[in-house]
Amino acid sequence: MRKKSLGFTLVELLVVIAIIGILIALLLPAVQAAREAARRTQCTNNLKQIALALHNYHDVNKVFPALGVRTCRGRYYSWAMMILPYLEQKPLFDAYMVQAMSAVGLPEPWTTDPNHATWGPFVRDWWRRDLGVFICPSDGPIPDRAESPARLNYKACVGDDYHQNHFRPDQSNRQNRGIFQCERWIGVEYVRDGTSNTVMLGEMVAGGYPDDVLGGVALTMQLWNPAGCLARIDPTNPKKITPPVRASFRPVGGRAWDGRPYFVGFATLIAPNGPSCHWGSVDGNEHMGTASSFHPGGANIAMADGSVRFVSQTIDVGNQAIDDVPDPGNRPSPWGVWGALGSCAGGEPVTPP
Amino acid sequence: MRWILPWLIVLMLVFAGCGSGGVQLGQVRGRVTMDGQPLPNVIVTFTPVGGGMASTGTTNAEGYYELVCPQGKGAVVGQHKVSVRSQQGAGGQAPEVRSDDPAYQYGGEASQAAAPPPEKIPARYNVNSQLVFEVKPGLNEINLELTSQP
Repeated sequence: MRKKSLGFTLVELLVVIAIIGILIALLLPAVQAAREAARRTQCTNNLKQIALALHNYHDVNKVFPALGVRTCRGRYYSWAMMILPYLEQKPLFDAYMVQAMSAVGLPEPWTTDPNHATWGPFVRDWWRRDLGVFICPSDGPIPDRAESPARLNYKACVGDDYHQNHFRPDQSNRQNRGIFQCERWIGVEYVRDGTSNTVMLGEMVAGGYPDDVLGGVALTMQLWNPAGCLARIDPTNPKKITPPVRASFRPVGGRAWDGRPYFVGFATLIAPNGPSCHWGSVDGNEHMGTASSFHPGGANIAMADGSVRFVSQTIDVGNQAIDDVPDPGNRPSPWGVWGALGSCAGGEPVTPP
Repeated sequence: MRWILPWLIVLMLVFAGCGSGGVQLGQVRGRVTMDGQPLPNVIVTFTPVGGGMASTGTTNAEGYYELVCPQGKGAVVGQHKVSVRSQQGAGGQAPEVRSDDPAYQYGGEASQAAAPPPEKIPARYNVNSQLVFEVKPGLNEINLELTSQP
């Protein structure tokens, strides 16, 4: 009679290990996807909170905040600062207003030095402030924060607009096509395309390196059409853009208090998750940033009615070779559904997909 | 014990197809000519006819281009509207000036030209483009032979 073995054979053991290995290999992507889904939910919630804060601001002031408010020193301070009281940050807002009324005023939008001769203690206590509600957890850290006191992953929509979208109305006698412009305050009644059909906010990647498609900026893009910006994608590596690119210390998502389109605005010309381009060689000119994120397949936007949607990166963007014009007025957008969603009075009969 | 191994192989084959989906891209390259002469430094844009992600390519000195989009090399498979635009005024240097530097201009550089420069390529190849090409999976060679006169 053969003796029955009580232990496992080597083959049995190996098979069991192989099965466990396969199960883990199958399960791990699902776990990662679930973690990303949770981060996306939190990101969506932040966007919703900011949209509600803008509406609460509107309830009190009867207008939406301007993209940036110009001070007598010629600096612009952003809409994100103006809605702080509606994000349960009233002490922070009060500190900023007290400082703004003082003899030296607010720090420069890029000041980060806690030992600064003029603003040192204020910068340390109040200016360098990463608020959770302004950060999308799917985004990575900003590598170089030398001029980035406060993170902001959520941008205000200036419309399907590139030409002079950084100007005040009194500089160019020109109105941005979206809800937001420097030194312009409009009420919800101006959103004539319907609040459900107009983009108010969008998320944008703040981390990344200067030459990344997501997080980088292609400078001196002195063409008038979005195709010119798409052409800055590196043909040898589609995740990168070709030089000249932004300085490493000037990421788009690092200055929540700087009220210019480069830092707190975006335009609906290029499909989500496309590249961002800038007319000038630093940060003060026209900006063609688009909504972008590390969520698979698109990015979140908030409409002017406060609803938050996920926009696919394959949304219709019309003919990308058509130029922006100096005075677009209220023409229908040539850049498809995405462009039409950005304009607040273009007269296009589109609803978000 | 012997039957496990075949089953494992079957299981692996069943799940082998799973993974990232996304759009299917076809590689596109070709040459752009105007009246038989190569067109250097122009931007070729392929836009899906039903709307969607656009791909672009810039021609080199011999007029050759290759399409690329943020999702990879090539263009979405299907029918595309094609436009060709010259790029004038693009490029330049970007000095890495610190914001505390006196040379830094907060309001940006001097204001730009009031209007886009006139386009030398006829409007029927860009703004009112009637060019439609189909991109198939795999490598596509699409040569664009433009004429200055209709």
